[in-house]
Amino acid sequence: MNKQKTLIGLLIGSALLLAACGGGSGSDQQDNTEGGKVLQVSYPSWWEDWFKDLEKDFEAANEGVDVELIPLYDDTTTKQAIMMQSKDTAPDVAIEDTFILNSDVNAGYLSSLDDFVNNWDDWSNIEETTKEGVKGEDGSIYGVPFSTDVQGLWYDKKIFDQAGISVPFEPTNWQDILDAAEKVHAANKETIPLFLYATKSTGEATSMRTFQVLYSGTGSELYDWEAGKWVIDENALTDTFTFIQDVYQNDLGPSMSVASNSQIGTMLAEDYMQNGGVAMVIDGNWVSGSWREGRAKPWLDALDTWDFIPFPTQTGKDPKYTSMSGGWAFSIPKQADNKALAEKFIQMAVDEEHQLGYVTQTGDMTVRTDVAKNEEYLNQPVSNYKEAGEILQYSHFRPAVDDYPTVSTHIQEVVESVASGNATPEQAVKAYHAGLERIVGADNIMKK
Amino acid sequence: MQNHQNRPQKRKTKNRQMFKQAAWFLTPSLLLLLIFFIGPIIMTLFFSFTNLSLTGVAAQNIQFVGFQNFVQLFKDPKFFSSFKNTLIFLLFSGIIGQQVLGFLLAVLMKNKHKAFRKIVGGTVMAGWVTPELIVAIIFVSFLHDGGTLNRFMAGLQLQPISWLFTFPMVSVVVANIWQGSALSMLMFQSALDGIPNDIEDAAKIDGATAWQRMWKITIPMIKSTIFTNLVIITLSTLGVFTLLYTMTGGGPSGATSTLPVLMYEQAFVNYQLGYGTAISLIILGIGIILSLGYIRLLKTED
Repeated sequence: MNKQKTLIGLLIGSALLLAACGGGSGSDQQDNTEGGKVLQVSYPSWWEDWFKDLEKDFEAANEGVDVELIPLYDDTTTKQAIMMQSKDTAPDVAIEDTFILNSDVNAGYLSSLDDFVNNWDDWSNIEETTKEGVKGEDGSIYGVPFSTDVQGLWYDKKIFDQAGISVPFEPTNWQDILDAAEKVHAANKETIPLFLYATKSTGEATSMRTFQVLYSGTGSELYDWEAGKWVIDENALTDTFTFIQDVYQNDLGPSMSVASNSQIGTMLAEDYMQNGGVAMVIDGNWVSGSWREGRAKPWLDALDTWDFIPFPTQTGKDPKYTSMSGGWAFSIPKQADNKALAEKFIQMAVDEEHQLGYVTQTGDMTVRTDVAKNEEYLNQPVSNYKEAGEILQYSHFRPAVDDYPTVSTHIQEVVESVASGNATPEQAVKAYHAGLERIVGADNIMKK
Repeated sequence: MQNHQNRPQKRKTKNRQMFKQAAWFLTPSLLLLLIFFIGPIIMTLFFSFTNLSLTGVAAQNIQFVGFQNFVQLFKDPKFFSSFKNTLIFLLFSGIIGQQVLGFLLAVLMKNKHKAFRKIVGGTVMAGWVTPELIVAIIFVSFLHDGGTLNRFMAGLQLQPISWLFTFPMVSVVVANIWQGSALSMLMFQSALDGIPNDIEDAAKIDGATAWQRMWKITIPMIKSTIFTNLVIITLSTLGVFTLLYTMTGGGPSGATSTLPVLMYEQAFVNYQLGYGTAISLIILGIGIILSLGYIRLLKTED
């Protein structure tokens, strides 16, 4: 009896101690953030330069405010979600990828910005279409958009010339692109004819820039908003996977070890594309941004060699072209300590001056209507905003539903199995269907 | 009667005192166990029966879903391929690779010159003291397309091979053996040093061959070390994540995706924390079953 009592006492004692430890560290943290005027801003690390500029400008304009930058390296959405769960770790300003924004709203991580944007004149200068992407299912606004992009086809005019393909290249269907890749391959075995992101290690790029760009060109859709169900369209899926197979299994694409390098995006812009290593790439309009002055490997004459054109639909049927767009937004976590200051920060970050600075530094497209007309924006060196702006009308967005991240990972796996030759397009369709059923349940799938 | 009752009573009081004393000394370690070991296990057990998610409705509204995670797991072909990969990785890199290589090193170094032991031992230890992440990076730069090995092969007029794609499992197994063999070597060294020389000498005089001495004397005498080592290696190999994730990311096409890699993906890439904890529970289960198996094997051998 007594032994038991002692043991129980010990257990309870330790539990209490545990609780005390937890409470202690929590209150410390809070004091820290409320005492000084600290504004915590978390952001993906690839925007380091721009956020450093913002920090400087915001501190200069607001005396006594200390902006604390929290760069996130890799798995940014995951880390930010974990941070937003607790008052101790939640930043005051968070950066949301629009495909995950709705899920984060459903998770209760974000505050509604309705009052903020309704009393803010500058809000009307932001492109209406991008505002759709930051609306929660309840109709409230949860983010302030600051960046968007389009995907298209990059091609090397010089390599095309040498391969005997007429420039400018104006493909009207997928076959035109495969034919061009064949010709490049016949003329030059050292050059990768067509690069498609096609492995799991390139993550979301594989799902969005390859699979969804192609798939949207079949005229089908991944998710039916009216029915609220995921779509299985066997013909569209088979055709999409067949294109990927044609590229990878006929030596028209990169080797799997090149495609599996998680840094390949950077390597393409800084090496392969600069040295005739690749003839065509399906990628974002912002690739040219990495050739500008001040970047790791500037290449100011790049656009004499590379052209950015809209990607055709499968057979060229209307609207002739297709694209996918991503987008990023500023949000304020529900657990943020300093919401008023956060609003001020966001106002400054998306004002005309800083947005011009943003697009100059990154090569992303602007979401501001006034910047979009600005001569300085349109005539920036090493930029293709006019072309990108035209592609925007053909663009599609990813289904921003809770299951999307899991489905997207599944798509990446299936695409990789096709590219590596482990699955035929027909097997891939079956695998996609089976996986989708596991993830969302058979009730939430419709056949088309 | 009086006498008889008195004695156990006294012993009882003494026992109780000793227990109290022991309890005080045990408190710190019990506390640590509770905080860092038992607590998380109980939480894991709990969360594996929920739909806990990092984002989306389920992040806010966590629900008890019974065995749904496990049902889903057993329907998922990825789970079975990861399970198989885990066992292959465990068998070849841990049980066979580290154990056998460590043993061979220890045997070959026995009774050798001190300087020799120091140099060989130090070289093997280098892998052991290097952090996992660095080991992974070393092996990637050694094995990748333009890496050291392919440069070396090109020098010998051989065709380069994409090691990490053509032989992904072999690559990670070799890397793990390279890193982990030092522990086995150290354990076996001390066990071998513990075998008195006169037993071996006696066997030698009786005409036993080196092979016979190995099987009849050395191995039976270090049996308990073999089993202890087996348990340690099994548990540490089961948990290998950094090495695999950095070298191959579980690819290509899931060829090196073990259960820890799958767990990470489900929990932190797909945001399905509940599902991820269910996988971690299975890893824990495998560890427990194997350890109990070894212990039983050791007991029946005795």
